[in-house]
Amino acid sequence: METFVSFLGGFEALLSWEVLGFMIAGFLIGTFFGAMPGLTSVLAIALLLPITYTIDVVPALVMCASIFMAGMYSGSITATTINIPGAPSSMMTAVEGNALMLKGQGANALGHAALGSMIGGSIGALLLMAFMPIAGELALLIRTPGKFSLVLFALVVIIIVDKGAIAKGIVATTLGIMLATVGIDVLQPIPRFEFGTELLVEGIGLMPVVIGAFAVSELLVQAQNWNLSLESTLKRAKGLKIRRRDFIPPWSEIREVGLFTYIKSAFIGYAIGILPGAGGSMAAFVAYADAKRSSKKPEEYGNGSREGIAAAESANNSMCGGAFVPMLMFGIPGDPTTAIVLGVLVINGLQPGPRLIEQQADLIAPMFASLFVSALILIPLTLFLFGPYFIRIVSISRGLLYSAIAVVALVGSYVATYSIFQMFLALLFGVLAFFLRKHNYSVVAMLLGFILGPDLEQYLRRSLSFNDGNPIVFLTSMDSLAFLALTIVFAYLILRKKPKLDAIP
Amino acid sequence: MYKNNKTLLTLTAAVALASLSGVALADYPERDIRVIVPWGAGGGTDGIVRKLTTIAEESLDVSMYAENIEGGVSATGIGQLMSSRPDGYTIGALTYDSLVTVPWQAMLPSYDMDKLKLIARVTSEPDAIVVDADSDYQTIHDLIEAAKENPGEIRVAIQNLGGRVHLAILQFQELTGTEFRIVSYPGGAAPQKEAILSDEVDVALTSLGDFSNLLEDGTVRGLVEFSDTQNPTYPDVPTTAEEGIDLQIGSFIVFAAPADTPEETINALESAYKTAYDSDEFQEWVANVGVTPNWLGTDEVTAWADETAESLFSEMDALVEAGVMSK
Amino acid sequence: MNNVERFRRSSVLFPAFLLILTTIYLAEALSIRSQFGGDTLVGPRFMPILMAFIMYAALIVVTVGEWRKEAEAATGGSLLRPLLIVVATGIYIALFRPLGYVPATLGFVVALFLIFDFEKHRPAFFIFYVIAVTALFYGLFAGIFGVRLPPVLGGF
Repeated sequence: METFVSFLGGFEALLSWEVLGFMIAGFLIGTFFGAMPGLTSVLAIALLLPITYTIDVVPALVMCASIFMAGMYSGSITATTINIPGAPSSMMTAVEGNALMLKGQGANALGHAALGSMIGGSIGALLLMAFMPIAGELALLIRTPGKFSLVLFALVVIIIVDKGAIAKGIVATTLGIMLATVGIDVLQPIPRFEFGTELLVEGIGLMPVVIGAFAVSELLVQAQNWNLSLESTLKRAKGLKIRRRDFIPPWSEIREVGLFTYIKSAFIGYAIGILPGAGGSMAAFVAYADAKRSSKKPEEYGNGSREGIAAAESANNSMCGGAFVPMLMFGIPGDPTTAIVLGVLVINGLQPGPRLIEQQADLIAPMFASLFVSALILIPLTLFLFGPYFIRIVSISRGLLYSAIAVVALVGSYVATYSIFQMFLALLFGVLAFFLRKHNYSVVAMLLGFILGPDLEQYLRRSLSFNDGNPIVFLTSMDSLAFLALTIVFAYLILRKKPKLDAIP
Repeated sequence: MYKNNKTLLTLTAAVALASLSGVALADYPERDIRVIVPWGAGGGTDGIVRKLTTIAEESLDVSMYAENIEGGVSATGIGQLMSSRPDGYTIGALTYDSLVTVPWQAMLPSYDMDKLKLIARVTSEPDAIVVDADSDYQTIHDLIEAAKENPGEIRVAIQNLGGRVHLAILQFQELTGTEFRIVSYPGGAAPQKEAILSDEVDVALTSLGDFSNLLEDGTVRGLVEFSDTQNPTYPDVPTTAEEGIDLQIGSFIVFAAPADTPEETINALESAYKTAYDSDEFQEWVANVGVTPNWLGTDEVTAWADETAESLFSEMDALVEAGVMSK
Repeated sequence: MNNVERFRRSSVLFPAFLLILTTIYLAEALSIRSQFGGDTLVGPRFMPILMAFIMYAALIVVTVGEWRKEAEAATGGSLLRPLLIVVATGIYIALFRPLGYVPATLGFVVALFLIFDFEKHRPAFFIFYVIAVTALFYGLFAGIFGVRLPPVLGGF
């Protein structure tokens, strides 16, 4: 507990104008990047990296932390208002939030998303400060077979969460996994599925897929329904005369979601965060799926479930706290953002490990304080100040709005890799996602299959190589057995309830 | 007459301008320089390149910014360097994979080392064998003996299959007559660290610098370094030369520019980086993070690189012939 | 509804299309060669082949299900606009480097505005917005973030 107390000292550092300034600047930049389709908070930090070398290490870390937290939150803004999540971790928020937006309740949806992010982020930051050593050791208990089963669990959940369309879920997820195999093999330096071209050897980048699947496909969907959306325009217009009060969710709604949902989702997010490699989208999704499983109103999901928004946003912001654990304890980054923060530490001559945590707490504690303050104070403040402007995005004439989105999304996919080919891939995936949506296949499932597929394969092949290819290893390893059991329990609980009438089994 | 004068005037002006711009060209650099890093931001290579470059830009008086272009075991980033304009405003940092793995595997047909001019080598980091401090292996000979008693049982964590570290363990096995169970953890040293800490493996093969934080707090122990000179930062770790094993292999960072970059530009870059290399700031930092500085200037680096690549190619070919791997 | 009509429904054609893709994928997967040791189960072709078979199974289930369904009312508008956007985007991408960011984006935005019927009747506003959008993102990417956008008529 000593370490916790020493970390509390970090809040003091925030009292300096310089540090405070960097935190707020980082938060605003992170919010902008996280919300814009085509940009991510990882890109923001990477672009600001040179600046972090010229300033002191404390403001630099504080800024990275607030960018991280802001980026996770702000994905929900565009997800709700224009159905294009700014980051994959807000995919579920797009489904539920946009449904509410179309019913004229956009401000309310944004409020719930902010509340979830706020609660989840704060809890994640507190868990980080209080339990980092224990959490770090716990994370080490899970080894490769366990990781395989965990990823398998996530994928199975994705497929069955919409139990009316399991076969389509399998198609979508498998499609994502297959697409991810294009490029260099996960373990060996041989190209796969490059069909003799040089371009495909570099594989399919995540950014173009995300941009294509969300931004471009939404563009195409809107274009197809151009003349039909008069009605929804009217509904949106209703939501435009909003007062700042409308962003604050009424207490009755919060109670309906239930404090337990927020806390449970935050724990899920933190737990997934402490495992290196698992990311915000997995955290958001697992929390969402579990909230749906235990919900008293599962039929709301897909049509504007506030509970779903709360769970997803709470988990993805809490994951931020968790991701710092393996990075600070062992020098093992949990996700791309913490990998860059690790670089900042190293450049400044700091080495991760117990020594850093015990003896140089004064250097890293402000970073934790920044996470906490960004979550608890800056998120609601941002919504309160800028909320009405967020909603008014949709009052921009549609032609102008979607043209602008097209430009920023495509240029964004160029900027990520300086590759024309990836821009083209973004277009291709946009078309693919368009058809997937038209025929009711889950784009979220495809994307999660794409993101998690390589991990699944790597963990599978490595686990099998321990024992000469004997799959019994998945049952003899405690961690793997635990997750497999969890998968079966989950599947049973979800499938037990009566499926929709015209279900395809 | 008037026309001739005018023509003469124009010609003179043109010549004057041309020579002025010639002078202007000699005033390299005039704008920002892009440094391609073919690995991810925050990683080991990225850190070293950025640190050195931030110091180097002070002597060149322009901004030098690092750009991470990942993919294809560094093939994507260096491939782009090869097709960049040779005007000195784009350079890049090559690592072992760029020089050996990618050409040998022939992953990208348009990838050709002749398209590059090497500027200087800045670090050369031998690989090493580290073990869990809780394990019974106190010296490398303990490990070799244990491996002989249990062939194919002892797990060794390496990085990508077919990469440098894999090659190292394969050669080690040949030289010592041992057989380990080789387990691959792609993605740099971080997953290897995780594997040792979670007790999934007891032995890992990579550079000491990659494991510096764990070596410092005593969680792992270095058994041997694949080098012939003792590493000053880790005086307790013997070299393979000392231990009688004829194996030296390691990674390195070499700066390069597209092949037709003018000589004055290359010289300017070389001296900027040499100044940065020699600076106290860099030398102290490098000792702190456990990386081994090792300078080799423009005159010598190309010969060294060719030699190193050739010898590694023939070693890999030998392994192919021995049936250990296929091409 | 006779069988041919059922087959031509897009909801059946789509999985059929995926089936063809999967077959190409499987054929390619079988030609993947592992580089190290006789790894059969743990090799680089295991996962792709497994995924291909799972995909086949799922696609068959889906196709049969869609086939059996009664005709649904056509939803959504015509595909003309989306198609035009795809074509315009393709051209934009192809010309992005050769022409440079500014000319290519100006042209792209003009095309999009026309497809979306934006300010078609007010040429002054039309031109203003085209320039505004192009300039805004130029300022954002090249100006604020120092990203290198392809120069005018530059190539690389």
